Amino acid sequence: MTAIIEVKNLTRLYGEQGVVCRALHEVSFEIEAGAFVAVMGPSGSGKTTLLNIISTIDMPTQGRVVIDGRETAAFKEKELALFRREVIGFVFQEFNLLDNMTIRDNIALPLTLNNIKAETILRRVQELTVLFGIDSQLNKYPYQLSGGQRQRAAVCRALVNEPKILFADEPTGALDSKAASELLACFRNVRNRYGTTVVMVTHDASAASYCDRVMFLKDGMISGKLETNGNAEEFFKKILNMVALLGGERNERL
Amino acid sequence: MNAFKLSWMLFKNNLKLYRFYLTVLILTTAIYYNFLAVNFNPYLEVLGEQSVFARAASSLCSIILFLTVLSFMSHANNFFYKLRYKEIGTYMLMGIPGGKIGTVFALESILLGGAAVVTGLPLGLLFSKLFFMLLSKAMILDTQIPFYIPPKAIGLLLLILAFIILLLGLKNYRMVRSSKLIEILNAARKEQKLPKIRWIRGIAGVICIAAAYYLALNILDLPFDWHMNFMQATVLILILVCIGTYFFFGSFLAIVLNALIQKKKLIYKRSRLVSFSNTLFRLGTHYRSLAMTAILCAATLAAFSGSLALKYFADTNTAVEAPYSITYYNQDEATGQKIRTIIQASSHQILAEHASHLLIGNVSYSHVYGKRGATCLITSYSEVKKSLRLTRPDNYQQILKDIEPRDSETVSILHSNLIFSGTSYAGQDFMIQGRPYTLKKEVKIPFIGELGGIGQYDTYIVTDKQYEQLKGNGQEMTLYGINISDPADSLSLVEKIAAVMKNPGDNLNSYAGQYQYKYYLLGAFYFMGLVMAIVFMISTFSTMYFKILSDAILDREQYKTLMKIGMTEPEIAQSIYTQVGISFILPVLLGILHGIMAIKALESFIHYQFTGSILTGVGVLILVMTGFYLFISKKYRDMAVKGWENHATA
Repeated sequence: MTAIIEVKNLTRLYGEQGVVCRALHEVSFEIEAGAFVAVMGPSGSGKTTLLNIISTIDMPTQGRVVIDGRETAAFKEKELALFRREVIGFVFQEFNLLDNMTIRDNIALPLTLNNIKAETILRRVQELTVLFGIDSQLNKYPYQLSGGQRQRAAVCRALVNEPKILFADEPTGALDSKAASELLACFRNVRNRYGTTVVMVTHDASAASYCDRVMFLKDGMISGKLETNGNAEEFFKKILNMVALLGGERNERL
Repeated sequence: MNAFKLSWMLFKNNLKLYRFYLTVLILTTAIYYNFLAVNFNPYLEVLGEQSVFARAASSLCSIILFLTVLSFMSHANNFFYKLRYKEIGTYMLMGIPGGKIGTVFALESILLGGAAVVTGLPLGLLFSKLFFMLLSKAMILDTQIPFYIPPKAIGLLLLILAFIILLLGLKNYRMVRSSKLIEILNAARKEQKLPKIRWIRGIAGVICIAAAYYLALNILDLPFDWHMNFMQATVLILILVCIGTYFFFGSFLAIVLNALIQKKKLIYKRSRLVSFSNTLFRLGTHYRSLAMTAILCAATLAAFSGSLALKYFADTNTAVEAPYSITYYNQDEATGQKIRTIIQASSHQILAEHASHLLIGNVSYSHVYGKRGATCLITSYSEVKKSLRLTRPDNYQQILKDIEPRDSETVSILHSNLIFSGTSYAGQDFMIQGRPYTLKKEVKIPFIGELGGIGQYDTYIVTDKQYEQLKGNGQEMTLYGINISDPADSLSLVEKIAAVMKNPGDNLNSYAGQYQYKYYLLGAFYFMGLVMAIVFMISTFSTMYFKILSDAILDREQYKTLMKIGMTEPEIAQSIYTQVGISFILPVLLGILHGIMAIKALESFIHYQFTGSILTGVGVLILVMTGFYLFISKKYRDMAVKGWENHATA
């Protein structure tokens, strides 16, 4: 399979001269199209920075990111916005749905910006919400829905423009365990059905166990990788062991 | 550090934030002082009647100004409070007791108000020389009003401002005291809810506005038997307009926007979805300030166009009061000759001469309080036609068409001293010299003018045939009009003519005399009206400024999200311009409509057309508002979008 994300020697420094903080150091990896990948690591290990850079929200200090064959550093501002709109989708821990729109309008929003016909938008919204089991909530406002339903709506919004890659930053962070496992099952469905690549940052070992592959970050560097052999329970245990080995993470969760 | 030192420090640190507010407040204080100063200036006593008008205008303005300042300051206060809400939480987390934080915030707002007064008052004193110079010019006073600082005005101003400032300080203290830490920390996450759709109120709002407009346009000609004087009508219209405007923004607009949002074909285009949804949700909390903006805007227009209209009226009415440079009647042939000789000997030239024929008679008609009879003048249509061809008021050919009576009809020319009349008798039956006529129309056109002897009587126009018949049992007289060159400058000539006439007080009238006399009446209102228009403009702007920028604070998070899902900066800008546009254009448009209706009602009462004044007023208002709109949108854009890149990486 071809790599949809290529990251080479990525370094990200923060701060000014004298007090420089190194969030990422010479990180390199590739993710193939259609993969479901988790990025784990203790607080401050650079997970979110990495996700922000590969999702074009942030720029690296050094190194390059190639997504779908295009170098992100070469984008001009407008191209970048269009790229975000057409190639990638985002899911955030806090859902970030707009309070003042119905679920239908929230999901339709990215497509309305592209001037797509209303009928096409409505059809697409219907199709996705059926897949995610929230098609009966379309006329409600976000504040009328449960956390799990809101997050599924947020995922629908991220997927409505048929992105090639879906980035999720702690998507289960604000959900209870039942809602979290439903959401992760949804991610897997999307990957299987549309072939969307899913990259997810998470603290949670059980969330990571839904993925095909887990990358561990520590102090801004990749310190380990795990791949599933298809047995979820065994994969979960392996992840737990790895977390224990890297330290910090397990205690933080207690 | 004690509370005062702390608040002084905060005040200094936040000065940049307060800059705009402080500027407006200083200007307002300065203008406010000047209005009060007119009331307390002893030199105005000397002017007698004229000072009454100046005082009346300035008292009215000071009351309106007080309300405006109060609402503007509390709007701004709320804005700053919202902006610094989280700061209170931080202090609370640091373990500072709520009472102390409250005191600090209250002191800070008092410092802010105090700074405005301390700067604004001296500025006002500086202005007052200019203010009085302009006022005396507007009233065409011969004497300058001397520079005088009335201690009473300063005292009253300080008292009023201290009251407002303390009130706000107290309010801030109470708001801080009653806020709970958990609420402050969760403030950002507070969910907005859809405003309730209230059909009855929405429709009632539109009906109120429509009814008010109908009344304003048909104020003298209501279809049912409903007599209202000017005050009653104005108050009723004002109440209807205010209620209507509040319901319009509170409910009707929500109904319309909600319906629009259901139309996906319309709304799923570019950034419309974002703008319309934002506006709809904000209505719940914003409708009051939208309504207030509309009313302020109407007030601005009414004050501005009203002032222009009064000036126009004063200019035009001079022609009505003195249709010719020199008018006289009831003199013998020899005196007439003498008058012409005097003019020919002077530096002025005779440009035209005219003689109008009329009868003195009696008229009776039904009045609200019963039958009424009066002395009147009667003339024929062709006499008026001849006269108007010489005096040529604006549109005189149209006027001639409008006033041509049929045999059974009469048209009345209202006497020229009448500035204001609250009732119209058009359509009613009139008995002239015992013969019945229907009153076709009431007009104010130059014909007799201001003559001591007969100027106070209305003139009734009948057909030439009817006039011939009426002449049989009446006494006909001739009114002479002479037009000369340089009429405004002919006062000494007029005095010479008066010397050769018998009873000149009743029988002679001149343009020069009327011209001088005119402005004192309306000059004060004209000038104050213009200043009021500026004050209303400032308050409209500052109300909108703080309200709309409060939105920007709330919208920051939202625009961050929108950019993350791929909305480009130009798209965000477009959405902001649309959103600000909706909350700007609607109140301004409605305000303009309200204002036009107000002037239209004024037109009916004064019997004049003020189309030019209305158009100028609307033009200026639209121009200024467009400027405001662009300025506020840019500010909003800076506040909502700026710094999101930094936030994203945090």
